[in-house]
Amino acid sequence: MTGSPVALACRGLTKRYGRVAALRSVDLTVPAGECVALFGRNGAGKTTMLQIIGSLIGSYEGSAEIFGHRVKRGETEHRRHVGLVLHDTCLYMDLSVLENLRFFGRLYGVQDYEARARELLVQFDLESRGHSIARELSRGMKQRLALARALVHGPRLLLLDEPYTGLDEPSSQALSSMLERFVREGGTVLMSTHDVERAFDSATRAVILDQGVITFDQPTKGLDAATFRHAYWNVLFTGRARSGSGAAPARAEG
Amino acid sequence: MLRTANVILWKDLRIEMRTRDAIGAALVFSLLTLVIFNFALNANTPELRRLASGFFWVAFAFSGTLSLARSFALEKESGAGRALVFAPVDAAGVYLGKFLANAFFLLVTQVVVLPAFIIFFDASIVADRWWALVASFLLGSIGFGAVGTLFSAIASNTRMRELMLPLLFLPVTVPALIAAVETTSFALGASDTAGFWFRLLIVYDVVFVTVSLLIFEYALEE
Repeated sequence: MTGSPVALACRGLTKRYGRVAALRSVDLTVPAGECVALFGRNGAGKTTMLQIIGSLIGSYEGSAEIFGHRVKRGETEHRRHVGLVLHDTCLYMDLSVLENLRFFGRLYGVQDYEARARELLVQFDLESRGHSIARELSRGMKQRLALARALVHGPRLLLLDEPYTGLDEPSSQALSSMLERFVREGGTVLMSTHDVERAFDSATRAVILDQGVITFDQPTKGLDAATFRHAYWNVLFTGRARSGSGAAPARAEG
Repeated sequence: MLRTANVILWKDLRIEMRTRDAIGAALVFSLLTLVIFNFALNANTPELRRLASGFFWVAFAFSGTLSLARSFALEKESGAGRALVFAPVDAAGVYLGKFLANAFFLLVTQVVVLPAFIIFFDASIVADRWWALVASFLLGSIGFGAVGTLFSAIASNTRMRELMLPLLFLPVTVPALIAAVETTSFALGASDTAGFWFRLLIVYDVVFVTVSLLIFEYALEE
């Protein structure tokens, strides 16, 4: 893992909304090929962190780099390497499934966007709904389409904000399989989630963010989901991991 | 920039063809306003016929606001606009695409409302001044579209977006509105010259398209 190039490097990320600090000097380095699951209670700073990395938030302290490209408002180079799935599906509800994929393919300058769109339809089991209007899809199908949209330009890093929310069991399984395949093929994932079991299907590393600070950071290999859930619940209900008792400590960078 | 603009334009035209939200709302509102003016003011008098172009553009200004409000509302729905902002494209390209789509919708509204306007106000276009009417509609749509696209993007990020767009947009379009009324009056034979007003419309369009292209990046910030 140490030989892998760094996909994402955050240093001293700090973001305040008025007097409230959403992130407090967060350092996180993610080597290429890792799937990092970011846990934390509501308001812990997970979405803020993803939005800063996704350059959707302009004013913050610290720095973030994606494959060596500085994340900065107005800079576009780092965005070519990133696929982003937010809590909203970020789809045009009045375009069809195929039209959404074609649109984003063309926007990202994908050479053969038509072939890429059809390839993704097959990959995400949406072939039969290619001409359906996005508004008419079920929540699970919209989520699959949102993921297909995020992958249309072949990104190397996926940022996912609670991707399992609202998905039924088969759709969740399909999402986990897709993430495993993406990572196996060299991709990197950073996802926020509350679903421990589901995240452990594909995550190679678990991170807990609490009140804007990373309080837990361990590889999932050798880490039992039940044990982790216990540590996570301590954070959720008592904040014990933050105080250093009961949960594994945050690990060093990388 | 042109590639991005082309992609955005295609997307907006496709959505409008499917929903007819922008043009449909503007058409209904325009026609309704002209009907009310017609009956309330007994417009078939020579004096009011001289003012007919004013009624046309007032109806258009308000209905156009509805159409422009829709422009960024569809980017807000389901957060699609955030995916747009995140894409590695320059904001000027996004602006150009949205502006061209909006100007086209405004122009279509004008062209469709024109026959009703002619009937309601017993208006007639001077035989050798068709070009003036075409230029007036075209330049007016470009001016309204240029400013409206910018302010629609700004208003869409505010809490009271429905209220903010007309508050921001209408005062800035007053010079274009006056110039468009005068050039249309010329086409309808209600005035003899309109050279100054055409020049004003052209300058207005050039200035606002240029400024909007330069500052649109900031308008997209949430």
